[in-house]
Formats: sequence, structure tokens, C-alpha cells
Amino acid sequence: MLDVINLSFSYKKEEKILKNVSFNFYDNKTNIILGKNGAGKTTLLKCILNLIKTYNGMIKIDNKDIKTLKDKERAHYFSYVSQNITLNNLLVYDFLLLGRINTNEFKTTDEDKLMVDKMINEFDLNDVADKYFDELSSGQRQKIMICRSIISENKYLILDEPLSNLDIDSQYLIMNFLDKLKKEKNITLIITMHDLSMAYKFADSLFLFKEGNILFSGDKEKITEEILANIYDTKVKIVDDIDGKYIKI
Amino acid sequence: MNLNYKFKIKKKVRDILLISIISLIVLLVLSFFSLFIGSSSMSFNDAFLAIFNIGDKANINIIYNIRLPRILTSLLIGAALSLSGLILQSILNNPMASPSTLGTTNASVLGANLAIIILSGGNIISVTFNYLNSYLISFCSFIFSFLGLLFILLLSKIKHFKSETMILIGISLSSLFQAVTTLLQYFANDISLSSAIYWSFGNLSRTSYKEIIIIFIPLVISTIIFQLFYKRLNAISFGDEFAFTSGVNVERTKFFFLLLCSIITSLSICFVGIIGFIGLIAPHIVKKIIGHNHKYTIPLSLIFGALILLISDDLARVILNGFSLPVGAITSILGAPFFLYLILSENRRKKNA
Repeated sequence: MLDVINLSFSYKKEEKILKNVSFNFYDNKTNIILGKNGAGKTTLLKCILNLIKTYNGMIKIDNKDIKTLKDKERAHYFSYVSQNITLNNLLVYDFLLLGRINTNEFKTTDEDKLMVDKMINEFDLNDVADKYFDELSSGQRQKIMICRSIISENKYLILDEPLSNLDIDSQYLIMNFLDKLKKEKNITLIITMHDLSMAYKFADSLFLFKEGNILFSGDKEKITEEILANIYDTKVKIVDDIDGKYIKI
Repeated sequence: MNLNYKFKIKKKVRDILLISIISLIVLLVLSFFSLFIGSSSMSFNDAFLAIFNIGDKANINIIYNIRLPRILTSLLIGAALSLSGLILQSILNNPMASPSTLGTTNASVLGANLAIIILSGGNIISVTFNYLNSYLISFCSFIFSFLGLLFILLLSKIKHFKSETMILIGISLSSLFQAVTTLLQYFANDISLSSAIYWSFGNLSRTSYKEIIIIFIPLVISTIIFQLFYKRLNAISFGDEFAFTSGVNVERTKFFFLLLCSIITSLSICFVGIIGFIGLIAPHIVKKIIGHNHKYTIPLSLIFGALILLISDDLARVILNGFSLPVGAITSILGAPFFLYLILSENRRKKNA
């Protein structure tokens, strides 16, 4: 269980980015955090990952304060996929192996290689495994970064705006991929995005942020059109269809 | 199971190893033949015999006490500067980083200028520090670069070793040290001034086997440490955020690796003066040829750095008959066109959005 309790944070004294928010993330579910740019989504993730350490309030994992965790322990719980990455000319295979750096930094064991090989075959990466990381398209890169996270066998996979630079095809590919991973590997997904329709389609639980406040947290089924319209200042309609409900803006 | 990618990867790795081995062989062969280059009028035959300790004692002395130390020095210093540049570029996540980025180079220069101008080091007239004289310049140079390093480490700790901040601090300190140096030079007398300027040209003939050992040991230790932590360096080069969330203690790593880089750079500069270009460009040449995996770029940076400096020094000694040119200038004159060629012929396909 990942619990956020009375979390507040500001970079400068005046403007608070997160205003005393409290909620829980649901294990083994797709938790999607929505909100406009600047609403506090990325800041929230950074607090969870301890990239920001000076926040007020508490974040608990399995009832332990995350501040009491050592760096290696934290890296064991959480994996982070973000666009904020320098592109390097490293073999995709070696990049995937970096997923094992927390377990085993100095020697590449046969077990490490086996895990990477399994991942490559399981998720159809045979064509890109021998390429270099900076040669990939952004969609392929996203997929590889997610795979690296899977290899490091973390309970929580945290993704910051994974769909932002992708075309629609790739967006669906990634979301379906994540869905499959969630079910097969029993992991918890925490994803930020600002595409309302996408979020509603794939989420189990939604967390809606506006200006540092959380306006809704919980089961997707419980959300109303009023709350959604409040977040985005736009008319939103939840449409019932044969495939299920979806959002129409 | 389609394992085709494994063959392709093995081939790529094999190519890298081939390039490394060939470079190493070229380095060794070139080093051997550098023994035949020099300002004395030794013939090829005489030199060859002298290498095997046969013949004229004067020739043997030249080979073993003048040429060989000089060659070893150029190999070690080229390697040290290149390795330092490579590691700094990775931990600061900045391709423009070099051993001089963080101010330790200019601190070294300040120390040397202080010794030459104020303490009259290297000056045969000086009486007060006579017994230290030959080492005074190197000593002051190293002490000041170490102080410069402490300064930047302390200031960087305040901002948790954030890369951009460290670079800005380094640039500021660098300018400061350079300014003080300029002031010293402004008030110096002619003899001291020309000594100071001459020192900064870079001169590989100033070292004996004692200094070579002093440079060699930290270089070997640093190389072993960096090679051991190659995965960590790979992770850090993707960004601090990436490395930190993967479990790497980024702050401590940066601190420790920066310390090592500064030590090997400072030891190189304090004995030999300023040799530019290698620390910045040699790592880039290596990365363009074999990619960014530190497992391979660390050894190859050493080899390429050594190679560039060796060739530059050989040319510096040979171009004008019997009169050595400043090696620091030759490294840039040689290296810049070659690097320009690499940049301009780069395959655009590689750069995706």
C-alpha cells in the first residue's frame, strides 16, 4: 500500500505546489494521475521517489515512512520511467541489463542475461535489442525503458507522462503493453498524463489534481462529469458504449 | 526463440575489441620508434644499440634518461587527461566538460605562478628556498589545485552536487584564479614573467622517473576504480534522475569520482604545465568510434589520450630541427582538424528527436 498523508510542498515561500493532499494508491491497479500542467503531478512523483526531500507531510509504503528507506531499498520498491533522460549510444541490451544494477552492480551474471533474454523474446524486442539506445524512435525508447523497469522487478512502476511524445498508435501500444504487464507481473502502475480519454479508458483508479489540490481520488466508476469539467474547464461527457464508458470532450 | 540479436551484439563487441587491440599495438610500436626521435645527432643504428645497452655510454644515457622518461611521461599524461575528461563528461552530464571545467587547472597555474613570481622558484638566483627549488613550482601548483578542488567540493555540497551548478561554480572559480594569476604576472619582473609563461606552455621533458611513478600510481588506482564501477558510470550518464531512481548514490559517486579526476589531472599539470585539447576532445573521439559504454571507453580513452600526446610530442620535437615546439599547441593543431572531420562526417541518421 502506498499512502500519501498531508503532503505539502513549495519551491518558494509564496506558491505552494502541493496543498496538503492525502490519498492512497491501489496495489496491482492502474492508478492514473490527471491534471493540467503545473497542477502538481510531477512534483508528487518526485516526492514519492525522494527526488524531492524537503516536503511536509508523510508518504508511507507498506506502513513505513519512505524517508526511512535506504536508497537501495527505495530503488527496490519503485521504478521510474521519465522523458528526462540523456540519450546515449549504449546497446539496448546493455541498457536493459542496467535494470539489474541494484541487485548486482559489478558482474553480469548468467541469471541477469537470462532475464534480459526472456524479456526480449516475451515482448518482441528481437529487432531492437542489438541497436543503440539513441537510434530508437521515442515509442521504442519508451517501451525499452518500461522493460528495463520490469527487469528490475519492482513492485511499483511510476511513469511520468509516458504518452506525451507519442502518436496515437504508439500511445495505445504502450498502454496495452502496461496493462498486460500489470496483469502478468503483478505490479502497481502509477501514471501521470493529461489525456482525459486515454486515462479514463485504461485507469482502474483516477486521481484528479487542480492547482495543488486533489479533487477526486478513487475508483474510476465513481467519477462524475461535473468533477471532470472542473479540472479542465471544459464540457465533458461520459458516454456509455458497447465497449464500456468513454470520455467525450 | 529468435536469438539473432545475440550474434549481432557479439559482432559489435568484437569490432570494439579489435579497434582497441589495434590502437594498443599502434601505441606500443609508435612508443618504441619514438626512442629514435630526438635533438641529438644519434644515428638509427646507434640508438638501436643503445636501447639494448650496447655502445656509447652517452647514447645509452640519452635513451634511458632523456628520451624514455619523456615518452613515458607523454603516455601517462595523455592517458590521465583523457580519462579525466571522459569521467567528468559523464558525471557532469555535459559533453563540454573537461579537466579544466571545474577550476583546478587554473588553480594549478595560479600556484605555479605564485611560486615563480613571488617565491622565485625555478630561479637560480633565489637563495631562500634553494633546497626546494626544483620542486617548488610543482609543489605549489599541486597544493593550489588541491585547494581549488576542496573549494569546489565544499560549494557543490551546498547544492547537492547538481551538475549545472557545479559547472557554473567551476567557471566562476576558474575566472577568479585566472584573474589573480593575471595580476601576479602584471607586477612580475621580466625574468619571472617569461618563466611563468614558459611554464604554462607544457613541457614533457621536465620529468624524471620519480615524477613518473608519482603520476603512474594514482592513474592506475583511478583506472581500476572507474573500470570497476563502469555500470554506475553508464547509469549516471543517462542523467542524475535516472541513476538515483535506479539505486545509485549519485552525490557520493560524484564527490569521489571528481576527487580522483582532480588528483590525476593536478599531478599531470604540476610537473608538466598546461596541455590543452586532450581532456576535452580525446574522449569524444573515442565515443564517436565505439559508443558510450564505459566498459570499453575507459581503456580506449587511456590509449587514445596517450597516442595523441605521444604523436604531438614527437612532432613537436621533429618539425624544427633540434628545437622543440610547445606540445600544448601541437595537440590542438593536430587534434582540432581531425575532430572537425569526425563531427562533420557524422551520420545524421543516428540523431532522433
